[in-house]
Amino acid sequence: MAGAGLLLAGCGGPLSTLDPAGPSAASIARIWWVMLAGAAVILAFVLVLLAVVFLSPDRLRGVPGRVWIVGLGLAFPLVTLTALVTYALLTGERLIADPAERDVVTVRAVARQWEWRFGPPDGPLTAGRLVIPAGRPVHVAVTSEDVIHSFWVPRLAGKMDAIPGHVNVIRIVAPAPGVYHGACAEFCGLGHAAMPFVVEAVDPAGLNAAGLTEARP
Amino acid sequence: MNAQTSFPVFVTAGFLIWSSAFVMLYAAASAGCAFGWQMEMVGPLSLQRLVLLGVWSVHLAAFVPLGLALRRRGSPGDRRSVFADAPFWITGAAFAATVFIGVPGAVLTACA
Amino acid sequence: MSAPSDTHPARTAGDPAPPTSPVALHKALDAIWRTPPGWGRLSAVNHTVVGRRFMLTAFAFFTIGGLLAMLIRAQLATPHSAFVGPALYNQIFTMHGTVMMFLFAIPMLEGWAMYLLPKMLGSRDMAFPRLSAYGYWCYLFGGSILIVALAVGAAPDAGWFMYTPLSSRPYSPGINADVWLIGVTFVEISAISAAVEIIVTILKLRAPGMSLDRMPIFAWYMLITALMMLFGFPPLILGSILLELERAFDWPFFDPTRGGDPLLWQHLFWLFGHPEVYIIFVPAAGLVSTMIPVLARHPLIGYTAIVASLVALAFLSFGLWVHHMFTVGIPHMALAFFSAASMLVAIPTGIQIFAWIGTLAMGRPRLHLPMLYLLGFFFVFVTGGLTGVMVAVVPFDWQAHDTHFVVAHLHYVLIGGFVFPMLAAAYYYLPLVTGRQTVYGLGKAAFWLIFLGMNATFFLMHLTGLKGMPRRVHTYLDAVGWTELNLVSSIGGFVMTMGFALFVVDVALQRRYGARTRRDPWQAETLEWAIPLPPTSYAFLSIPHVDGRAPLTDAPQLGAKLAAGEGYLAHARNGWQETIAVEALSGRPEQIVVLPRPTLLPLVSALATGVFFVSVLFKVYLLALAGLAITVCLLLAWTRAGGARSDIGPLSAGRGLLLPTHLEAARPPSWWGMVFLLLADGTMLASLLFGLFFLAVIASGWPPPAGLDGGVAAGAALAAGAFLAALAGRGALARARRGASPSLLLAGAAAGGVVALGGVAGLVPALPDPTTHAFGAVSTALLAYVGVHAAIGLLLAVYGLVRVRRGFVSARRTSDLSIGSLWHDYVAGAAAIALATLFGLEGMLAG
Repeated sequence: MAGAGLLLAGCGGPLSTLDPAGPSAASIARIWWVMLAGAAVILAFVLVLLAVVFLSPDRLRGVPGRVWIVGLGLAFPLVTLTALVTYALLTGERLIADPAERDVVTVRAVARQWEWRFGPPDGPLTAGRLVIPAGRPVHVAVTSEDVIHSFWVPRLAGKMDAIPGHVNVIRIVAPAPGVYHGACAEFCGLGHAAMPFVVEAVDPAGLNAAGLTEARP
Repeated sequence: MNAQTSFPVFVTAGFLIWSSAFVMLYAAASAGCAFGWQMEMVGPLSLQRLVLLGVWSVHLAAFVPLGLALRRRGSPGDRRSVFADAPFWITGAAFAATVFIGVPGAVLTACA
Repeated sequence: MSAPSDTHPARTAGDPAPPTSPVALHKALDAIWRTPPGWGRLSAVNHTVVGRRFMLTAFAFFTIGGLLAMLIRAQLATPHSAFVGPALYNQIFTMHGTVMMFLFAIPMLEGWAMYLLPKMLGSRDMAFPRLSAYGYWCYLFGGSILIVALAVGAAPDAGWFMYTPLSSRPYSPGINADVWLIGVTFVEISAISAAVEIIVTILKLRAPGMSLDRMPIFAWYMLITALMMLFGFPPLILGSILLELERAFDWPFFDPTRGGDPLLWQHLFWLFGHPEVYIIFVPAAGLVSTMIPVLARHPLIGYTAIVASLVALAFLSFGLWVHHMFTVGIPHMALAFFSAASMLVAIPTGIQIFAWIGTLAMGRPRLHLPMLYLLGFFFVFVTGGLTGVMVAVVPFDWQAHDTHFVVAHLHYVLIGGFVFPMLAAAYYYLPLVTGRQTVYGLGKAAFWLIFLGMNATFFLMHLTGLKGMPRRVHTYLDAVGWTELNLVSSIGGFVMTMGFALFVVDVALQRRYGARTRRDPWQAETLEWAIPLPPTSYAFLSIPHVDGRAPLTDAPQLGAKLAAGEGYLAHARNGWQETIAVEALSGRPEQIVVLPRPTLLPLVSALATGVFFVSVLFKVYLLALAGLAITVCLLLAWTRAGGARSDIGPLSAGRGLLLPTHLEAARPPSWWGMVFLLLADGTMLASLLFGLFFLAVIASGWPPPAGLDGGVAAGAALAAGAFLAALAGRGALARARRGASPSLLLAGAAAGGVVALGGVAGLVPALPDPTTHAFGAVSTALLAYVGVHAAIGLLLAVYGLVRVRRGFVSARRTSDLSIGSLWHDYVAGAAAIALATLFGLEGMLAG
């Protein structure tokens, strides 16, 4: 299908999950490619079965009902899905922000209609730009002052909702210095499309200049 | 009760156990994190884990009397009957689902 | 709810008139069953008429939803589009989702169920025809509120999912959000009533001999769907009521500064919202399972396995709701439960897919037009199912959630899992509906336009999402690389729309110009093809005895025999609309149900209900109370036509069978209706209790600043009164069945109701203020729930007294009392649970 060619050619972009720049996003992208390959095989298998049924009807007539129902309907998805969910949950375990994790930088992200503000846990907030040290895990404590928003830097990690009354922690790592774009992913009213921000990963030497404090020793 | 009149009971019992297991696992996971059960150690396991394993095993155990009752009920002559076969399929599926659903509670990080 | 009857006891007779010719019988039955012409159409209660109305109205809403989709695609076709601004765009996408979900998909499946079920089951109508009509009018009026709001620019704009606090008053001060809450709740009345009606029809109104395991497979699918609706919709209705209370009276259920939590809304919404997806898919799958064996000329393989997988699916689908909430900060382990359940739910669907392919493989499938649409269904739905598994994977969903990947996924599932089967079924059943042969040319062209357009719109949209385009943005920059993808999607969308337009033209032409078809053009298996085409008002001139799953395959001449009057009820008696009810499991004939004739009462009742809802919308609460009172009175008035003042005794049902009428049956359909209504009601109570525990555990600001202030005596009075009413209600029923007078005990039940209401009134001042903290709000809501139910119980007790005095109750005719007794039992249970919760939680919070 024409889609496949386009798919391989056009995966880049400042907000593309398929162009990962950090370990979290990379392992999720890997899950995606594995699932895409599996899904393509399964879809092709179903389509081939249907094609055979209509084009060469005698070929499958002798296959007993048990094979269809128990073999293909029950056992096949059970095995496939067990493997997938195991792989997925083990990956997920490595991505979550474990409060006991050592050598981590903590920052907070506060959303409101319609801007993001970032800063150290107790320090002042600045709008639109989050500075983190490159190469170190960062726990971003996300919350909101009004409606629900969602903190999302696709090239670094998945998203985490900013919910009033809750503080949710997401773990991001940017191995290399650079600027990574973020967006609000949860519909938040009129300015939903206009809440961009950037995460700027700097050389750890620049850390103190950015006014970030060390987390738990 | 014959195969017909007991049908509504046996066709739902398995998944009612599953539903209870599911709700209680989720409730125990949430309540445990809210009240800090994951920090309190009872022997090698956290209180959180202990409660989850307890909920899981109680529900798995509930399938024993259900399975026995199902066997006593037997399978009436007509092999193609929904009344005869569906309860077996459904109870088996519910048991497998209850096994499946409890695994995360046994192995994954509790509150992060 | 009353016994669905419209009897004229004075004219009852033991035996029907001597057999007449089939033609004379046809005329006599049609005179009894047909819907009057002209303005009389407003009084229609017949399932064929009301079912068709549901489907046509749903299609009209589908057209509106489709036009809104075109506006969305026009806006997103290019970056920096100036076509509409964000304010209007938000209304458009909110209404697109709302219309498609609530005003198209659900009513469409209700329409199919109403139209087909009685014909498939060998019944002459649904169990509660007036309820069908009432549900239809509620749907039409509720939907109209939403469309009128759209026309005047005040449509909801907080998303079809209405997340709080965006939908709360501070951030949505206008009437827009209220329109959603009121309109959708109004429409949901029809969903609940349809669910109750479908369940009772399937369980009771079947042809004699049709045991549960001889039912056409579609009936199993609809039974499961309706049960899911019964448990799926109450959380949404409750959530809507709570949010409207918060918006109108500042009760802080969802306000995190006062002990509420915005996540409570998400839980309640998705507790409904995920089963909803299956509620839409399962009936469509039922139609697929009905068509495939006929088109493949081979019986469906794995009937039992499919029934079993449907039961599994029904339960599992209620364990998925949090997979819409993977990014709200719930711990990974809790997410894993839902991810695992989401994997499991794919298996019953897999079983069905391979059962269908296996049936095709074993048969000699015909590539007719319906089959072409089914092949489209296979491709689109399997693709949607596979991406569904992907988004159930927790880490992947952290990326894909709220992006266009999910938009693509859900359209594959819903268009694949609902629209394609509907189109296949439309062509399959067109001969049944119109009585005309189908010509295939235009239908094929429409298929290719819809199929190619659909894939062009949504296939590459997966990539758009993975490249980071969030949902619900009204514009985007050229630099992010989504421009070409969006343009392709927009073009595809317009191609798909042309396909649907062609479909409409095709159906209109076929209806107008098609040649007459013979009976059963498909050589089908099931009874809906054993009736004359197009269907007569009474469906079956006589009702068959069923000995297997494929009655029409077993006896191809069955239709002619029934039309010759060789089945049951081959008579026109007393002007009654008669059909047979069976024992639910075995299919043994049990009662003759006399169904109500066409009446304006459903329309008038729905209008009164509309007065209530519109008054709430505009915050004219006095008028709302009046509307409510009138509605209740009108609903009670439905029973005026019902009942009998003397015993009739068993009557001939034909073929030597003697059956009592439903008036003299121990458990008439209306009793079953009440049982299932109470199940839905109980789900609402359970959802409210879930809310209370959820807030107590999760929300910040707990324990609350103020708890109960005394109230023990009032609580005891409530418990005692409700218990007394239940006891007296049971006693009254027992006495009536023995032939003794139940009046004194009914008076006792009424007294119990009064005491209970006194207890409720006494508890009000003991509760904390509902506006300062969510605990006060929830406990007041809980008490209000019990109060409303106790008041209805009082009304039913008094109503029972009136019915006894007027002679409608005898040892045989006890349904007025048995239904009331069910209610009193429920109120007692609900009161006990509510009180235990309030005082128990109070003790826990204090201790």
